[in-house]
Amino acid sequence: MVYNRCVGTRYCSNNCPYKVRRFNFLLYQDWNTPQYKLMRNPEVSIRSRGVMEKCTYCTQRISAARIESQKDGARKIRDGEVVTACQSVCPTDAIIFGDMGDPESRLRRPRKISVITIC
Amino acid sequence: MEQNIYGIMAEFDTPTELVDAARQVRDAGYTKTDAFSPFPLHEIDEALGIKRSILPYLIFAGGVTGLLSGLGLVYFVHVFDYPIIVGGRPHFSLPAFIPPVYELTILFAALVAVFGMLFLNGLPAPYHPVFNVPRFAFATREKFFLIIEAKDPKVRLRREHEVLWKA
Amino acid sequence: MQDEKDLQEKLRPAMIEGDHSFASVTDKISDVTLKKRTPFHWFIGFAIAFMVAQLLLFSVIWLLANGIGVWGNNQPVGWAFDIINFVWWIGIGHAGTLISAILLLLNQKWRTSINRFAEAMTLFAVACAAMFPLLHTGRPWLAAYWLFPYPNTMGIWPNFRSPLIWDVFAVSTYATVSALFWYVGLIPDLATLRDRAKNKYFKFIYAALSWGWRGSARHWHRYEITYLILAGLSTPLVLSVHSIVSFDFSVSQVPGWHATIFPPYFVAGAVFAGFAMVLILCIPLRHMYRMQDFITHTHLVYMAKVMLATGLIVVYGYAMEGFFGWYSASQYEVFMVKNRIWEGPYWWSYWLLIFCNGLSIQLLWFKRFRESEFWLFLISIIVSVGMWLERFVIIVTSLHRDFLPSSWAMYSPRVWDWTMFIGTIGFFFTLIYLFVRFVPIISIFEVRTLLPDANVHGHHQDFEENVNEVEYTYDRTDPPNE
Repeated sequence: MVYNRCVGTRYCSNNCPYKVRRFNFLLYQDWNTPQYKLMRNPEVSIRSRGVMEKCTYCTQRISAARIESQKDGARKIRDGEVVTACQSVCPTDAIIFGDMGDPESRLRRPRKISVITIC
Repeated sequence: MEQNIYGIMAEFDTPTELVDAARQVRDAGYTKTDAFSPFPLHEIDEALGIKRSILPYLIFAGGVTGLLSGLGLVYFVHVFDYPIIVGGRPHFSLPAFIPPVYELTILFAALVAVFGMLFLNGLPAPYHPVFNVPRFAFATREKFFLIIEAKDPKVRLRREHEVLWKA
Repeated sequence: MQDEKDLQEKLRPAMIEGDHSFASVTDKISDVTLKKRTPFHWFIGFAIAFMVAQLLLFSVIWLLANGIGVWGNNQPVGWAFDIINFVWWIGIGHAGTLISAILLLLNQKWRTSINRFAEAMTLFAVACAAMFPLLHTGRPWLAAYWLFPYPNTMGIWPNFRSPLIWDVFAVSTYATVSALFWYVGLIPDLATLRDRAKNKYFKFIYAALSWGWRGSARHWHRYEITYLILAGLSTPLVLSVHSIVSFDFSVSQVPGWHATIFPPYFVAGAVFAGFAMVLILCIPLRHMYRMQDFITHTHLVYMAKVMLATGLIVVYGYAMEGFFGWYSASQYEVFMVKNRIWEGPYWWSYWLLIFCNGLSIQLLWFKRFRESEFWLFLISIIVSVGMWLERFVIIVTSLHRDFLPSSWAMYSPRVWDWTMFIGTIGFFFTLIYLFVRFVPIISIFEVRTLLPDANVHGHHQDFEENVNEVEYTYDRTDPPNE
């Protein structure tokens, strides 16, 4: 999702088989109350009305991990270095985030129970 | 005196008379002539010796320009300036680009068709000497006019008069 | 003279009835515009249309102030009235281009007296249509220019592989070319109005708009080239526009949208709906302004036949949708067909659609109904409703039950959906009323060419020079014994 560029035709939502996309039909955010600004994560943009919403896989965390890996001499991002917000709060560890292309990744290990993987 | 006269004009009731007269005027050797009718007459082109316009070629060139600029636009955007893979397609995925390129081709050709026609016709022309003839208002209603312009090298007013009267 | 007329009558049905000359044709049509007194019914009609158009203004302001949430659209039905109305209006517009361009290329003389207002109808319908894709976006203030190829500050361009961008190109090109075509056709008639207007201000306006047209043979020569080539350009254009509109659906993956039959089926549906609208407009118009001499029964019968033919293509499209659903062997497609026709909650809309578009037009097989203005008008209205329902069936019933049952939901329009739709109808008729008042509703110069006097008769001296010429100029109107 490029929130800045979205004009909100809802075409992607119509086509999404899982309907994971949600549309800001009205202005759901309070943009004006100054106190609320303290509450918000400064790394996550607030979406205005008329914009499609979709999970970004916590793009700000991915960016942070990528910057770290670049600082360490352009190494690959390690498995488990990026933890999405939903993953970090999931008590049953049902959500795993990682690189499906990496055979060593935790995602690729055989699982005893079926889990929802996001990738 | 003669310099102020733009041309000499004759009025006719039917297109047949106009075309006949135009043929006679042409056969008498006049070239700076024009006819006015309230609707298009195909026969008058031959009768006045009007050559086929270059307009169709201009329109074709306009269409080709539209085609090339459309292709150039999508190539520039999707290959050069902002290459992004969408739906696993190559950067220059021609089938998906056909609709916008096609529409641009038609748009450019149509714009050239209309504005080229107006330009070649010398329109808009708010003033023209023929409007000074009061009865010329009927040229957009029911009457047909033929004019021999004074700048025609063969014009000598007297003879001119005779040719038109005979017709 | 009488022989000539009899012969002409025999050779083709009359496109102009009554005894007319160049002058009488000119006066009759231009008087509608130039007459000092505007008929009373015009004021009533205009007032009603204008009031209804205010509904549109109000709905648009409310929409811009609050967002798409004022409509009934929701998950999973992201498109509803907005896109239904868009496709409906643009489809209506297509008949105007068909009449003006395709029938011109096919040399159908009967287009001549209906093409002007059919083209006006196209323009106004496209104006109504173009509003919806713009306003249905979440942020129309950005869509207005981001949809055109222009990079934003981040250097991001529109994706030219998206059917929605194709739509922008198609609809904007269509609107531009239709406007040009209409205006080019108007220039000689505006010159006629300029020369006939008594009122100083009107004379000035028409003079400015006619750009100094003087009917010169050289001008006509280039004019005819332009007109013919514009017709040649509009023909593939009009076919492409509704094909591209149908790509919005067929390029996607929603069952019920993803169908290869869509482009031809949509084009046929567009012409079908458009002819219905032309009939709805021209049946009252010919009586109000006593244009029965120019818009004859022959015209109405021909339009009825086109409606029947395109309607049958549309019905074939319905049959094929069902067939493909079954033939695809995809559980989603099979379910979509069943859901649409009898299992789903919107089954009634499908059967109403079949009644409006499939059954009602069967009456047109019979001469009695084709020749009755009442029945034609009624059937045209039923067809217009039917074509609107067709888009409802395609858009809403496909979206409300897609892949995952957990996301299924119902759609119901809210008051702002209705006001916006009805408002565009008011806007459309407001424009039609203004057009009828200020512009000649029938192309005067083209009607002149239909008169027998417009033919140039050959002379014997030319016979030796150019045999083809004489063959041609003798035409069918000359008595054979001459």
